[in-house]
Amino acid sequence: MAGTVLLIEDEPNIVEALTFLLEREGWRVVSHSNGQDAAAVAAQIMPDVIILDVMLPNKSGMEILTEIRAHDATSQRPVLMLTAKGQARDRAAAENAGVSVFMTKPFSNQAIIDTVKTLAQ
Amino acid sequence: MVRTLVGTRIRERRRALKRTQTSLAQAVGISPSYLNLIEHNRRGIAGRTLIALAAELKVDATELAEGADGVLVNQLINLAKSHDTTPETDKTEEFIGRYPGWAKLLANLGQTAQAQRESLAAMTDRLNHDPFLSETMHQILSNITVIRSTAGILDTTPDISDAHRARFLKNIRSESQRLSATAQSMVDFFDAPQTAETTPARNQDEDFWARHGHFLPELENGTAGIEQLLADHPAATATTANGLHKHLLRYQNIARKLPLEPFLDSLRRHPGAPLALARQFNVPLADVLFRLAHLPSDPDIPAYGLIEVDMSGAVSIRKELPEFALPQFSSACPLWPVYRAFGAPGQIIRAVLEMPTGVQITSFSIATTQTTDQYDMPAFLQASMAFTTDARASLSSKPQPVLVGLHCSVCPRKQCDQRRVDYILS
Repeated sequence: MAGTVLLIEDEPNIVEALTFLLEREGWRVVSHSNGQDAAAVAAQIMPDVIILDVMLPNKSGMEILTEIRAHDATSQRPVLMLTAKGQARDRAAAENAGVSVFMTKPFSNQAIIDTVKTLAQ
Repeated sequence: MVRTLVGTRIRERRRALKRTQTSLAQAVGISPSYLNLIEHNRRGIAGRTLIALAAELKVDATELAEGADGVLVNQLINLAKSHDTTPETDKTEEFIGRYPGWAKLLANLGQTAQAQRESLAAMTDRLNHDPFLSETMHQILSNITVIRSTAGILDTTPDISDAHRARFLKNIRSESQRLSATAQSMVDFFDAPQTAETTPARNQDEDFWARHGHFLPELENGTAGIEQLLADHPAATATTANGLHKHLLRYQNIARKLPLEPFLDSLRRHPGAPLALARQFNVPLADVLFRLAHLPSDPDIPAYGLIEVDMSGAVSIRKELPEFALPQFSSACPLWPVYRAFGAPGQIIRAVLEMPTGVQITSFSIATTQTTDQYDMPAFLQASMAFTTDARASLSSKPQPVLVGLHCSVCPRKQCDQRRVDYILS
């Protein structure tokens, strides 16, 4: 197995596609759709890579990223942030909050696979 | 407005008709040398001579005496100012006198070009800031993401199981249907007529404040005045400059009453207590709310947004936060306390607002009354709401959050009693 990916995303069809895609490449995928306790889940399962959507119910991806970075257990974990908002302001906010890679939707499957692989190294 | 003298107009008109001084002078019964003095403004002219000259020159005597239409002169001068090239504005009236048809055509073309520029600016602003469009684009991109990713899986996985294939095809179909519905919503949105709120005047005003970060140290420390700031704002037109001038004047007055450093010191101690600040500085609460939204960006203090509206719902001041956008082209959520404030003018409303995304906003609202000095005219009511997402400004009383949205069309709270229109993305 290549490692574990925590997928924090609330769109079920995106979760289904990304889960299939990553599992096909040998990753174990744990998905989570609630922003409220997403950072706590990350600290609990300690994934090799975290994929985080910006827009989530109950808590924004930016807030979750800040919590992930503030937690000792996950402060160094690579985070790939997915967003449909590619504006410079959002990108800058994500970088300030400590994102590893910021990727805008729609993305290519190969880009996701390559990025996750690179981040896990 | 540029005014030329009557003699100059007589000369220009005579030249336009290709008449000699001698011929014209004889026709009205004066000597050519006297006409020459008149044309060079060395002799006054009125009465019968003026009427006779006007008749010979085939113009109205009043027009000859008072000059060309002042509005047209100003239009052409403003047109000249709005371009890099600098035509001879001191000869504008002469130009109108000699070529009145061309002058009117040029002024009309200038007005048309300005209207098109403003319309384009309004559309650009609409694309950048409208919450409906932002939400719709997000939905469209999410739909496309699923379709692209799922189609890619089907294409690159020849040995996919029948169950997975069926499942993914179903997902593509459902996402395609949602994409179609969302795209249709967007077409309907663009087909809808623009409201009065799309006037470019306010957009340019907001552009000014956005460029300055809603903070003007040069105005506060006296190194620049209001007129200079307006002159440095290239987009300002006569219409926008008026509103901007009022906003700047108010900024200047409030900044004097609430000086920056003492105010920041107090705000650091009371990040979520504007009433305490109003008492300390002995100013109306509305002034404090205004000041909270006009401060430098500083990590030691909460960032506040501001909206001010009148009873018609028209927005006069609008500063949004990244986490709390303010609708620009449609009315906002009626549950916002800024509207509730009109029901009890003078009452300070503290409320925690919760957006559908879960973001919580601490807000302070008040409606103030401005009495009139005329009989039987209603008092002018204006409501202000300052708001922040900064936890340092959270209310210690921890009130129950008010579940709000931006606008019904982009609000997923389907059971809301205040809903006016359907959620467009359902």
